[in-house]
Amino acid sequence: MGKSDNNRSEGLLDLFDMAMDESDEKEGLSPLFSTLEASEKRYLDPELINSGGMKTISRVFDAVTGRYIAMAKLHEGAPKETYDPFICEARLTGLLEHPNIISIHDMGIDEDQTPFFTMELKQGDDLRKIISQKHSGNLEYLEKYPLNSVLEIFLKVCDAIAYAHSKGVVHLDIKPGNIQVGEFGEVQVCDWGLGKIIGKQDSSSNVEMFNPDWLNSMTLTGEIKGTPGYMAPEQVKDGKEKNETTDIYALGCLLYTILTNSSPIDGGTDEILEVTTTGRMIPPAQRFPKLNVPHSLSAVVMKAVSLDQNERYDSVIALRKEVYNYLAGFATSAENASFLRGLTLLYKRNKLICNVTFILSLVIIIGSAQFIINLNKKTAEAIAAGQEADEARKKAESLLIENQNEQKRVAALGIQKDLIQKTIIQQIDYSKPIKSVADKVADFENRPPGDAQMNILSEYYYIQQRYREVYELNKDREKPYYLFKHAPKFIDVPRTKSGLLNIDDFFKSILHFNLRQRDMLEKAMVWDTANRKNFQGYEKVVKLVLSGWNNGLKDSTFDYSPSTKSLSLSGADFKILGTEDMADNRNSLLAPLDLVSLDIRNTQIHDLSQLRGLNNLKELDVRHTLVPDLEPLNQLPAIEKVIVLPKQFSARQIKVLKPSIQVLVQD
Amino acid sequence: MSNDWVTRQTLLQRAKNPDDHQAWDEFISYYENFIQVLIYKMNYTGQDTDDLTQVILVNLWKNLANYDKEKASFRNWMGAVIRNTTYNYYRKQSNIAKREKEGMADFLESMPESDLDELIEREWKTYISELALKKMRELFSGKAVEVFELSLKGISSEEISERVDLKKDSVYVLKNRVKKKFMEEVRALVAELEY
Repeated sequence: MGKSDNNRSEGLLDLFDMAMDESDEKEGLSPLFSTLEASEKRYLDPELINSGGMKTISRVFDAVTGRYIAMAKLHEGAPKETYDPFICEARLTGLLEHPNIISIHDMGIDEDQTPFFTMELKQGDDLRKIISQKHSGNLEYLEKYPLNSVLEIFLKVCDAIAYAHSKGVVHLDIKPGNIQVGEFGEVQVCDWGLGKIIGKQDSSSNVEMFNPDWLNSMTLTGEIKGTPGYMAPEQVKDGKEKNETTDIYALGCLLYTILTNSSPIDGGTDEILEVTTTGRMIPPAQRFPKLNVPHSLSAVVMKAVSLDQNERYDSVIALRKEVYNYLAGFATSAENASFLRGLTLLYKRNKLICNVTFILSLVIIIGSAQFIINLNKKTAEAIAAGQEADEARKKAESLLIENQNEQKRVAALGIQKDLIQKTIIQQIDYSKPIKSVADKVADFENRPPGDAQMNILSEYYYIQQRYREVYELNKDREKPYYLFKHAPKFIDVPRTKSGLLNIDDFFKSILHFNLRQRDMLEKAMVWDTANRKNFQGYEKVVKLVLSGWNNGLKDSTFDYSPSTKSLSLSGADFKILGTEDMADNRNSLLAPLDLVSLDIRNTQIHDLSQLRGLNNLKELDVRHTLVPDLEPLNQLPAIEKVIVLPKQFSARQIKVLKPSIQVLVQD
Repeated sequence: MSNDWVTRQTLLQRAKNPDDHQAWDEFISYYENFIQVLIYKMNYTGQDTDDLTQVILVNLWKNLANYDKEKASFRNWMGAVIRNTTYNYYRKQSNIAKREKEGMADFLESMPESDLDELIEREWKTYISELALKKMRELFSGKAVEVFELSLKGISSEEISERVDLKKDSVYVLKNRVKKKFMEEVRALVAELEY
């Protein structure tokens, strides 16, 4: 207890004295030495992290700032002559304030009366480790430090050295081991122990501190003045000035190492020094052909390590620019780039723009080609269409000629012009076919005889099933009407009570109408229907007439059920169920069947007005048709139900239907 | 504020003025305890310690006007005043109660002046330091002062960190923080209490 109290009061008294001493120091009386001595208590827990030729670097805790920093000390027992060069290194480094140069925090004399200095402690690797890891194929390092990223580190080293040169300081020991690379790309050039002031610099700042005489004398000591392999010839052989170009040589060697992950020169120290002094370094691209060392950078290295100091780059900035040019994709001056090389580099540095341009060009070319091809195709189509049109025109012309010939013929027969008009020849009232046809016959019987008159009369006789008259009229003619040869077949066949041919015979007789005469077909059927009483089996007549108007019904079905009087049509050929816009009181071609139910699904039928005359039709299915309008159904007296698709008709279209018509919507 | 500081007189400067009663009270508060401790250290065993203290204080007070910084440091001057006052007081009292004072006579006669001065100086420094330490206890909370006091006893930082259950880094930081403030306080007290 007593002892402890004593200790305590002793401690208090010491502190009292210390407090008073410090107040005295403020007055400038106390020597610097005493504050330097106090540093013993400032830096704690040293932990060796590196040891070099002259000094050791430890990690220490700085109790004042509360952080870990690096402390450099001379080796234990180092001779006193090394003290000043050591302090000189610290001062030299301290003078260089640059983000890529290690910064000095503090220096002083330790409790063992040896000098020390402290500097920032960087987490990370030095470049030597990075390169050796890359050399041994460590994937992590290969991935983290590709060539371009190490080249960027190199640029930062160049920045630091260029700055130092501007301040009149040369490093003289640039090598991978002296370059610290932080976790986040911080690069710092360390170990300025061989650094040297060169005399010719301007005296822009710190004149006293940079006094060459004072600092240079300090660097005369140590025996090793560089690292073999990175040392310039002038460092090996005395007699030549060591200046900025010496650092440029070392930077060239550093670049060599970065490019190849190997030292610039292999072998023992003597061998290395021999190669150095004779300048027989093998270019990186030549020594490591498999590494794909960029030729431009290989050339840069070889220029930087020229034996003659004057042949190296003029400045670090010039060297830096070369590497920068490579990274930016320009040609380096050292490689004497060809036009093609320049073009390649132009592509490399503008890859994105070039690629986009290329793709766009490609798109334009393909687009143009496509356009031209399409144009050709269209032209061909147009020509083909033209030809088709031409053919159609020729056909039309031939028809016209035929017609004209007919007209000529008619004219030659002395028939009045109006008689040859189709309407007059052909037109009948379909609501009164018997009378109408009879009128035509009477009309033409009373006309002066002639080819046209006889032909027309023949047609109408044929429609009236008066085959004997057809025969009699034509038997003496030079050019008898074409139906004349078929007429005799039907003269003596049995007839119905109404005097008509049986349905089968009637079917056969109208088979002989050629397709150009399909209006004759319709007339024949309409006249026959008007006279006939029993329509059993009549569907084949109807089908024949329909096929005359609907492309022959090649791919269609006509399915009639006599018991239910229902008909189902399907097929794309079905377009027309009633002719000539239902003019002249025409009824539907289906009218003879007296249908109750009609299914026209999957046909191209579009006009429901062509159903006129289906007076007993109750049900109609128009799904999958082209029918645009249901309104004509209102004219069908018996219609009850129409089947449509959902959304086939709008509500308004359905609304036009009579209320009695049920619209059934089905899929 | 800064103006106050510039025009501010130290306690002793103010104490020179016999009419400054507040300064006198302050003077008493600072020096009375110190003088009592000193008397005790000088083996004065009389019943009238308080009386002697008052006499010394009054003598210091009176002589302040005559103190010349050029001739002696304040501590030496103060030591001399205390020593002489005590001698005179002792002589006056010796006839009355000689036996009682025997212990002190031996002490004073056996001790050279320089040693006495040293004792006084040492006690003065200790006194100021204790005052500063007291101030630290007011200023700092937690373990800071405890760490500082342990370090005063020469205990290693490692041991302190174990004793107070703090990280070593923290021990350094706390110790240095208190130490810095402590030394500032010492300097401030000296400036105030020494002339």
